[in-house]
Amino acid sequence: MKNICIVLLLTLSVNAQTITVGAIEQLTTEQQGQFFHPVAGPNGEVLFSGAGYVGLYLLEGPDHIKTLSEALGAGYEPTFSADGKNVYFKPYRYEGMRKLSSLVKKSISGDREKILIKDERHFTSAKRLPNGAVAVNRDTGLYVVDKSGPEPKNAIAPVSVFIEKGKIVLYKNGEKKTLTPLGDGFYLWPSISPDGTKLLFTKAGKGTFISNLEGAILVELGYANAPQWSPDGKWVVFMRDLDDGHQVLESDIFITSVDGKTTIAITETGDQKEVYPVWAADNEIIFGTEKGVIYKAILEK
Amino acid sequence: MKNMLKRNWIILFALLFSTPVWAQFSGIKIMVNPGHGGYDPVFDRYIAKTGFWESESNLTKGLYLRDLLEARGAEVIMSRTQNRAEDDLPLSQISAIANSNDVDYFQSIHSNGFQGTANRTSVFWEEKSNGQPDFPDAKRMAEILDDKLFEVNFTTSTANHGDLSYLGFNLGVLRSLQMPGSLTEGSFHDYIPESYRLLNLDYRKHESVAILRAMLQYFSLPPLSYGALAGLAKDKSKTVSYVYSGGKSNDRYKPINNLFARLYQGQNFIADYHGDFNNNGYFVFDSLEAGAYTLVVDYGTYKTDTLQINVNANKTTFKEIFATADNQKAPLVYSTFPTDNFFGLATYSSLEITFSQPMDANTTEAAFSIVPALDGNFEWKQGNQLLVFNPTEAFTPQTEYMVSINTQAQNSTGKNLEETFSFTLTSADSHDYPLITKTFPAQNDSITIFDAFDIYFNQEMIREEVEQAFTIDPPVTGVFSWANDQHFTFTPDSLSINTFYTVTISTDALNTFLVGLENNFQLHFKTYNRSDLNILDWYPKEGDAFISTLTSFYFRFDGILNTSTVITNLALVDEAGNDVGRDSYKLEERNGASVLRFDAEQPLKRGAKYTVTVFPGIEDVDALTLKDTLSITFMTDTLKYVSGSVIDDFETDTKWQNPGEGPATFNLDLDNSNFAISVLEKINGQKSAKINYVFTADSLGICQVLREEPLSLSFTDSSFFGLWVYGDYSFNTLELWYDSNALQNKSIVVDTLDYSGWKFVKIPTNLFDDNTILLHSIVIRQQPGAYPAGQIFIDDIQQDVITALDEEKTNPFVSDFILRQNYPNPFNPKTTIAYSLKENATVTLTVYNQLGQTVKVLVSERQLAGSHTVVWDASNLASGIYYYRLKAGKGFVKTKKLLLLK
Repeated sequence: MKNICIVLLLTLSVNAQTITVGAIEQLTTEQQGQFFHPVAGPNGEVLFSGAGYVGLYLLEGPDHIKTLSEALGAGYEPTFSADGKNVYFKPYRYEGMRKLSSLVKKSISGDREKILIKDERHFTSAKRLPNGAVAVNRDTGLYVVDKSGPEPKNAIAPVSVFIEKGKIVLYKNGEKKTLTPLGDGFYLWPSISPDGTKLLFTKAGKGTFISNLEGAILVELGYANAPQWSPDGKWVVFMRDLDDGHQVLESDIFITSVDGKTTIAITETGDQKEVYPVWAADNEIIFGTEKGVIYKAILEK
Repeated sequence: MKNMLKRNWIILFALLFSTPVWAQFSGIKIMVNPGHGGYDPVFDRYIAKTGFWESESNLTKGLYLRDLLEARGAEVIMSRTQNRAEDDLPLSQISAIANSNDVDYFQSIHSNGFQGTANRTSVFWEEKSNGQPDFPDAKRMAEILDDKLFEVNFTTSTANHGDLSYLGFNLGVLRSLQMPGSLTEGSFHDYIPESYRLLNLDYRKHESVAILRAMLQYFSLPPLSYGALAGLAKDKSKTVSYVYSGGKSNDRYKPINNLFARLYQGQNFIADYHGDFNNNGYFVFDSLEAGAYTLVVDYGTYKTDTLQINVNANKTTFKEIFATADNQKAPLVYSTFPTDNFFGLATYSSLEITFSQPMDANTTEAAFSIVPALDGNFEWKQGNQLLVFNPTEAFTPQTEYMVSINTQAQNSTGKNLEETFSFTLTSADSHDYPLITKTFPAQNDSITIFDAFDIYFNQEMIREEVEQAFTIDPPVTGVFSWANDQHFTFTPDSLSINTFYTVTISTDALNTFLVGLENNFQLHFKTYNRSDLNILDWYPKEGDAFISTLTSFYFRFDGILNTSTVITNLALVDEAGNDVGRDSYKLEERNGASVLRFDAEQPLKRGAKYTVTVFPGIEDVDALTLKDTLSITFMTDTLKYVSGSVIDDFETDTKWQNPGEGPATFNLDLDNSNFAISVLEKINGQKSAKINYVFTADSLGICQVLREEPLSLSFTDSSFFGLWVYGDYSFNTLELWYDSNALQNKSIVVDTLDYSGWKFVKIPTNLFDDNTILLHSIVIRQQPGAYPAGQIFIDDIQQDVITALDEEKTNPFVSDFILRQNYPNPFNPKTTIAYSLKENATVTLTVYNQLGQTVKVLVSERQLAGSHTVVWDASNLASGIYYYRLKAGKGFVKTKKLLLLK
């Protein structure tokens, strides 16, 4: 694995806590192809997609990328099983130019594949619930598509969140609740904090917010796209992408404390546009670039 | 006969299996992204010479494309429908909207620019670094689109491109799509002749038609069965003054404004088109069946042209016309607003008359008449071709007016109108009276003594008239300031604390057409005693008896509490003064103030006296504190409830449905109202039924929780039916609905939700119509003045209830009876009065005015012991203070005051 620090490392001193970027590793090269939208597994696995979320790929080791699927949509919001051995994704095909989606469970070893939903419209990407089960949202409710493995010991109340018709829908204790904490509009990128008590989301044109599970705003994080929780729930990682209405002019990765008071740049590059970060292990952030290269930032606390 | 039947069957099959046009796109989801948004000259592409905004133009095209697609059954997601700065979404958010909505196709609409010296059509698809498209289907669509757009736009060439190799970068909005998408640059808006064309809304919309044609082909749907005719009219003898190189060569010629085109099929008139004044000479006729047409184009000072034109289905026939001057023509009236015989014209409208030529203002204004007469003034636009008459008074409603221009009207060279032109209109049934649309404070709100008031009108008002029509009672002097003619602020010199005020704006407040408010407007509000924090309402009340041992304590404040001061400033003690543990604190914000609830840690003892206290240390976020300690002593219920035969314990029941399924549900916010089996509260087992409800109006709300299979119940005589209810102190009522032998949807009022926490509610079964019923619904019915939202729980619906009369203790607080303060108070027009009878008694409840005269006798009968409520509707009475007096049994008399505020 190449270990090239090509990104300007930045250190900021924070009141009580200091996080610095120790190193940034390049996980894929331009020669290997363009890859986007990384997703991290529980044991350090890294998935990513091709351009347009076409195809799903697993980083198996230095210089080795395994193709799990080449289908349209396969790389859009895949999710791992709790043990990291399987991945759930939603490929689609066109029939009369209408999308027909399926939900596929595939072992990352690549030897087993099961189709859980076949050729349907109007269901969301799969999400893993805190109890390990995997579910999708349809307009009619939450559908557990796979009860994977035993329930973890410290399972918190099963809370899950999706976007339905632009609004946030939240399931808790089997109840479905539609939330529009900031009124009508498009809500994006919702996720539940690791302790199951808070909701992180973006409202298009308004910014990114943390609310309680009733939708009462707790913190306004400002302009912070594609936000994701850190595993300890203390930070949010996001991209700050700026455009002129045609092209992305610049984009960098930042983390912000969940009280919104401390923001630290993970990348600060003029020439390269870093996008769509995810927090992998406690001290790792994986992100892509607009040109299609995947990187990993290693944090030091 | 047999053949005929067969033929009919064939026709029927054909009807069944051919998709009607309105359903062509049924099931297809398309996202339309009108590029940019707002009025930032840098990002939203402003062309100063023409006044063109790309953000506006893209929106016109996008909205019309949406209409066209929706009319054919598509589901369309719009990234924006307005043109404000906040609608200019980041590109990553636009693609995320497309992705989360899982659309089948994404279309971004733009126009382009290149130093004002080119005018091309371009369509882009997303391209990988190896030159391949992310989606081959997007490239296929781009090929269709560039062809279709070129047919309708007056550009020099068309092409489709992969973005990376052509532009040198990836288009941000296409980069992160998970479905095919394209970005169209229909034409170049900084090329001035095209910029003028793009000012014509129909030119923009015709591009949407081209995109529709492309989408029909992309989705393999039948093409449009009709076609269009469009064109440009120009004067070849004149060359434009601005840059025209780089576009089509005929762009050098001056476009003709204000043309008047008429289309005929044979002798039949089909449609007409009035050209605009925006230097484009554009005209278009859409939705034409294929075939031959005659086009007649007239222009004020040019010879009339007549052309024979063929129109093909799914195509636009494009025609350039070069007109020759004719200076001998007399002027004509081309069009009017409103059109002749218009019915229902708003009484504040301006009138517009468009002439075919520039007119002489003096003779034309003198030639203008309106009957009945109406005062107004004239305004000339578009080089004296458009005359606007602006009335300075309103049209009289329901009146026919005749507007005429006689032949004295002359054009700028002295030629008279050939014949008098007249049109008639009928005004609307009534004035569109000015309305007050918003106030601060809101009706019946409370404000601080430092606040100013804001009044907003929906129309422009005459400021002096409004100020004259404004009064405040009790009188307060102050200063008016107007933000604009629709909004003023009144800053009072001084307000008194804890005082009810009424602002009145009388019907003398006139709009600029001299029409006043339809009715006097009154705004009632109260000033806070805002040197302190106040507790506005609480439960239980001092002296209450029979309070459930599972009660929840309720306090409503007039400020938002500082949470860190809450727990330490509360106390709950038993009669001996021993502290009783508290928990389950809940703080809810309601209308900018806090509602605090908490429970005792353990159920309270039966028949015992407790005191709950709120100490002055409790603070709101403005650091205001309570002035006095509030201490409430109450007595708990004496009765012990032993479960009867439980019909539904709400542990596993999945048959109850959300209120949205209840056919009688009314005025309810379905998104925020629901039924669930919940672990949050319970009496027995682990769970209970939870009902959240939010009514959407002030009254008549019904939240019906219907059970898929009704519960079949049979009662023995003289038994009791019961259920545990966790009240929300909303003062709405809880009902059970059932069917009996012959009667459906019978209802029984179980309780008024005038308590907080768990309470056992018991009903004699003889109140049901029959001994056998089908219980099918739990219903919350909105009551006047009650809080329009809440959350209740229900557990252990049961029959054959046994109430152990453990030891009936007397109520130590009252020798006789209890009369409660009315709720709400102040009120308008309904309020609820509650009272309790310790024993069966003859009761009279009477309302008096301030002179002691009887206004209404609300109750006069013998009643059973227990709690009673009466709703008083005072809608026919004037605002003011009233008194209500309860007489009960032998010698109990109690009087309380209530305040009606209209």
